[in-house]
Amino acid sequence: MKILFNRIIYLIVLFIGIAIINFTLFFMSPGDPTNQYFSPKVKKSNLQILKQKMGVDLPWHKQLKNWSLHTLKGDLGYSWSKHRPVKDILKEAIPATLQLTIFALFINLIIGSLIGIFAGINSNRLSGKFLDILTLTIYSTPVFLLALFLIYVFSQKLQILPPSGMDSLRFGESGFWLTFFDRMRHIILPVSVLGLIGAATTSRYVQEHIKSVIKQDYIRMAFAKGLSLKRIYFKHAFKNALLPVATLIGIYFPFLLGSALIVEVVFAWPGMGRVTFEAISSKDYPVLMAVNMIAAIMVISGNLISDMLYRFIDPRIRIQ
Amino acid sequence: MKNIFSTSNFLFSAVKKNTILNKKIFFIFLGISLSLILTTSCSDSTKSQYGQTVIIGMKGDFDSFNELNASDSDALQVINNMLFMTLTKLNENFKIVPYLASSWELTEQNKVLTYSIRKDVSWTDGNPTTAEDVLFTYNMAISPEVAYPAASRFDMTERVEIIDPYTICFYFKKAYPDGLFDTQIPILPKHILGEMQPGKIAQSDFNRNPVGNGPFKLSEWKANQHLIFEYNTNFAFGRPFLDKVIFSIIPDESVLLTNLKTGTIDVIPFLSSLDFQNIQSVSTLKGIRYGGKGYSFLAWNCANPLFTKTVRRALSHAIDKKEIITTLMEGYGKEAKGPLLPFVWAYDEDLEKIQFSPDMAKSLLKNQGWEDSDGDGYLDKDNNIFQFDIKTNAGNQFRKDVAVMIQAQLKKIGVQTNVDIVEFNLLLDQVFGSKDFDVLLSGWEADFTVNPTDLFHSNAITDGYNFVSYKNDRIDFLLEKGRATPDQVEAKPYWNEFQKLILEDSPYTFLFNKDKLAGYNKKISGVKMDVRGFLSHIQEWRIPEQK
Repeated sequence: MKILFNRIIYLIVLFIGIAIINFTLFFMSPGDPTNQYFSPKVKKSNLQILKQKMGVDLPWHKQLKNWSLHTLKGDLGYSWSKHRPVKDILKEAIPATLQLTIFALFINLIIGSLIGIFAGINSNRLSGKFLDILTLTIYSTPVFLLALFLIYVFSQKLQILPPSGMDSLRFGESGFWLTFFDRMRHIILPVSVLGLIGAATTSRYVQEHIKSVIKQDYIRMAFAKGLSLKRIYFKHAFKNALLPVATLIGIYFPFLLGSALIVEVVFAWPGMGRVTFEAISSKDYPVLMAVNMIAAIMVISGNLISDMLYRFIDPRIRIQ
Repeated sequence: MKNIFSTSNFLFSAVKKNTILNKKIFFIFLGISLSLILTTSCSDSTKSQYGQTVIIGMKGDFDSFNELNASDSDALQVINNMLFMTLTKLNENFKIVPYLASSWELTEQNKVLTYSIRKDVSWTDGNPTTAEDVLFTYNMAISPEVAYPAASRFDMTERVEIIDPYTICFYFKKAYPDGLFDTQIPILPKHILGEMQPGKIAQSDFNRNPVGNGPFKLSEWKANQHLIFEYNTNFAFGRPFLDKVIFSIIPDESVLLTNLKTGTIDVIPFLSSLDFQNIQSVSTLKGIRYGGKGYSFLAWNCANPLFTKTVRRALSHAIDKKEIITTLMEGYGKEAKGPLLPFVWAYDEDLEKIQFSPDMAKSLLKNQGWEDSDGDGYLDKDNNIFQFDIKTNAGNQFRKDVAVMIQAQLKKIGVQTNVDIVEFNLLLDQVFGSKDFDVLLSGWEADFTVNPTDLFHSNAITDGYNFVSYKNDRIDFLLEKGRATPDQVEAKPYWNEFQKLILEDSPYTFLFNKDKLAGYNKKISGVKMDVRGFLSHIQEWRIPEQK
């Protein structure tokens, strides 16, 4: 318990550090949100008034103080590019991204682990080699390319899945189930891209780990004792092969946000990726700070979860 | 229909009786019935003009529908063409015509502009639009607390006064030609925004839930997904043909095109030249090419001693604009001649453009002492090679391609250049802040008003957009005279001379005006687009009912 408490204190300090570093980097980078108005139709004196209104003409320490005080009060600020509170933007974008990433993480871990185990056990057979090549191919395919390929096949050629968006615009008013199935039709392609690329990564980790685990003495002993293959692989080998998966969960949290950025842009999915993309182009600091803080929380909590999982899976770590 | 059936039953019973009277009655009723049927079918065909939904695909979401803070040009188009009325507007021929104002009058030597406002215009919540709303909009636009980006449109306005609820006067500091243009601001509802502190208006919920008086009203906005506009039943000029206009936000160009091809969306207002050609082969789609307000240029840093007037002129002769238009724009563009575009009244039709002539360029440079003395293929003077950087912004592949093509064209006359692609915000700092640049490849969006003062007047070197540090006393004089002469006929010679002199001095090399390309589904009729924007004819778009 004490370890957990210490860990949480450490993570809070880390979070504050990340916030200050991020803020400083944004402050130092060229430009500000008034650049969106830059045109001979807008006088430079008017741009100066806008800067004052946005508070971007203040020195670093004052801007940081303002941001920190507002954030501590739960006010994430105002988006100067979208002209609405940051809180409202996130309220819409986070659920959309969660829909994608939770489904994708599910596909990633389940399918990735199963393929990894199968390919690891059968690494000397044709099926194992085939899966090895297949996962390597998917792993090395750029996200946007896989996305465009799936759109071409399923939307343009076969016309069975919608190429973009969350809902059908010509759908009109409909009941819960019709809306649900419509959403499912829209989510298949983006989730497939995110999930498949993640699954390929997971399978490669698990595959390599399984290969080394089945060469261990205790597995040989299990074979010598004449235990069934099912018992050897799933009870003895798989438990040890879970360790890299636990590490991956910690890594996947921020990775999912990063990949979601590209997937959301290609599939016009209105999530955090799109918000980040637009905020970067318009130098919208309040939005970028909020997004970065969420990303930091995800990385930190991902690490915390994987630490805890480690302790749960491997008793040796618990004793240490 | 029920009436027609009951009439027919009566007719059948009348025929059965077979009397002369009945025959007469039969033919009278037959005539009445036929007229009824014809009238009904006629009204049906009229009715079929109305209704339906058009889905327009956009690459990015809108920022705000409040004129006081919107920066996105697409949002400004929606504000002007769909949501709000302006006092007057430009018609297809760029003439000012009545809109919210039924008439206007310029008096006291063009220093007072009086508008008579229509009495039948109301906001979508039912309240009337009056002179109070016009005065309120003006007060908010000039308020420093509101920080309206385009507040300078009222720099020449001294005060605004209400004469009666439907008459309002704009008093100008002095007579000038653009009073009608500058007062063309979308009018805001005082009864909604008037209670707020001015400093809070630009951050209010009105940005996303506007109450307007235009032909459409916003009924749903799902950020980064779609916006639904429904026709305004109260619109003073009668309802538009379409029931709904939906904007679907799809950032990826190829996915946007797939949506158009599969019929998920009906219109894409901005296509690349390749995609425009691509849709020509799709039987259900049609392309439309329309003029834009933008012009691209190379801006020479006149403070750099390398770029003398003759050198700038010589380098302008070395650039083959036709090659750029044919190769990089598939021909969808025109050579630019100057900062005034053909749609403004002051544009000089007879202005002679700078001809592409590498020989002339070489000869002018030779006169300045630039020659290839060592035979390495590059011009030099006093052991210095003629070289400079062409800066342009990152994230625009087309502009990068143009820079590379210009680099190749200049190499042919022995000028060495380096293309420097810089992140947009950093570029603004370098060019407009520290003025650390040789040449900038960029573009401006021109306006319907004639006011290039902030680009070329010497006063704008420190406080405006004259980042090239161009100074010519005659140009200063012409700009001041042109702006102070309200009569277009009298002002025209000043503007003609201004355009000629700017070409001679070449602080900019004007490159091209890129055409805008759109694609739409053939089921929509009445689709027209022009330099005023892709929504300028939105009220005429319609989808005739399938027979």
